[in-house]
Amino acid sequence: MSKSEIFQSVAGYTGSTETKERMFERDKDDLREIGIVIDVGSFDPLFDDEVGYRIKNTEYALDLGELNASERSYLSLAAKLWRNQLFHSSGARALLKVAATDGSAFMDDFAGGVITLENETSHFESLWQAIADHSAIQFSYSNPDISRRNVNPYGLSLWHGIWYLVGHDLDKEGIRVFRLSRIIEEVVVAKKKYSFTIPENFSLKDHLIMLNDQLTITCIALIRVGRCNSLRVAGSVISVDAEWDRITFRQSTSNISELLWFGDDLILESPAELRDQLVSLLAKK
Amino acid sequence: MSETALDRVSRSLNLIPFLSKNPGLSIPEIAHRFDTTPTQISKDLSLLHMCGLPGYSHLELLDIDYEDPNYVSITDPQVLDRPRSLTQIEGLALVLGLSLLLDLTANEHEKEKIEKLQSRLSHSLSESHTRYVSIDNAVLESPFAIEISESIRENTTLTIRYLSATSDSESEREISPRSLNFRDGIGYVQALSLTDHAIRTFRLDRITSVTKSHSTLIGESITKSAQPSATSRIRLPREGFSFLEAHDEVVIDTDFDGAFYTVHLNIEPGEWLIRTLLALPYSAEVLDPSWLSSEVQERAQKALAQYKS
Repeated sequence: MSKSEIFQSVAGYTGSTETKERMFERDKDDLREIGIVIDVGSFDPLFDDEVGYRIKNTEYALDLGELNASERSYLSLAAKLWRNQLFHSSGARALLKVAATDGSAFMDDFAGGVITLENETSHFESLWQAIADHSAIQFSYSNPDISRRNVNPYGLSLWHGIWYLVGHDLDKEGIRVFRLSRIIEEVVVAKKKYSFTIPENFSLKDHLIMLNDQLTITCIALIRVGRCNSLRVAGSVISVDAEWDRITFRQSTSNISELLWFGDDLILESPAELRDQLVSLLAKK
Repeated sequence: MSETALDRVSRSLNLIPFLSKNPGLSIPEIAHRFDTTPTQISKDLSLLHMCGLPGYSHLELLDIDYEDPNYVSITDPQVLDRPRSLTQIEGLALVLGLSLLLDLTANEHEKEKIEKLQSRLSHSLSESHTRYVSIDNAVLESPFAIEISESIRENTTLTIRYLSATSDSESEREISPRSLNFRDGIGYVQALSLTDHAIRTFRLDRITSVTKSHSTLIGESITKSAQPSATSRIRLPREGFSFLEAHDEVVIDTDFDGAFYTVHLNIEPGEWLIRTLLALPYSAEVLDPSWLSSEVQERAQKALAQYKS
């Protein structure tokens, strides 16, 4: 359809040509925002003075092919898994569209909410779009001191229940990992697209693994018989006397809390530095 | 929440194919599915009633019947009989959801079916939108997650050994798992405990063994776990930031004066709180109740005494 045909047949386009043009551009942007792309092309090979506009049916319509009953139930489970606002409502809308292809709206209630995933997704959408567009971003980050960060965003990962952003911090000149829930206020996304390239060999995992990869050391402790059950699962235990067992286990150096939790049911024997640390913490309680 | 004209157009465009393939729903049912009010759906329908293709005679208009609010149908959807393609975020919600299901499925045949479905969906997403999002390690791994999620789907009962989160003891229970919820990566199993006839929540990482049991469920009387009847107040130094982040479900409010957090907790001061305070790797002060403060100190002294002897 040509522009003049659209102006003629669609109610609402009034005023000067310029006004109509402006209205048309605005309408096109609006449609793009809800996912409908207007394709521009010349349909007449002899005359190229007026271009035509159309919405391609292949791009407009959902085409998943035939879905059988088990595939539908997987989709339903996958969509209803999310408990956070963003994915929960997106998943629900997706299911409605699927139901509109095969009339299955009456069937999709059975699987709701048996397996769920709950986590914060604040800022997800704007960061996600910025990554797809390769646009630089700026935000305030609380750690807990608040600082302003300039970042080229590279990727997002749900790592052990928490969403992280990995990106190139332009001020610190290196790859940094940010927790989404610590970003405060709005993320400012630069207008310019493709302002940086993500390195070919970049892998999200390499940077997230650091979060988990803490040093572990071998510890030996006396634990009261019948107590410290969660520790026993992870270590090797030998009997000492009627009251005490001796356990050898691996422990991350930064996680002294786990040992403090057992109170007087545990006496750490080695390593000496960790023992000293434990004693001084207990003395301050 | 106020909605824009665009939200409304978007919903209306989704309504047409949905109603034409699923005739006979009531207005309140439709509103529930589209997450809006019945009034709004009625308005949408009367708007759509006047929409159609240029020409605008009754032949070109959408033919919608909603005179009976209990039975809405579209007999002529014009060209809008097929649903719009998924938006990027809708597609992502499904693709990521399927990834997690894949992790919770052991059956190879089922796994293959889920993978195929996932790759079909991925085609509708642009590469730049999927390449840099991962949920490979979405939740903390547990060797029992698969068995439990299968038990939920097949409605079977299990015998588990469980480490109490509060009292440092291990017990055996027979449970019928109802749901598996991962909150901030930690798995929680909600189950009917046949051992104490109540709905109980178990942390996945404190379950030490799982075996199939063969009990059948018959008319169990169920009691709900009690809500906390008292609250506590504590004072934490700056390092307390991570405590607040990890336990935000029990934090009622916090006040930060630049050096210390004053935290109001919605939790019964008991064994869990005593041990949690004892375990903090910095000093924390209990403001209220006072017995809690002396209890924590007493335990610390006892532990300390072990090192002096």
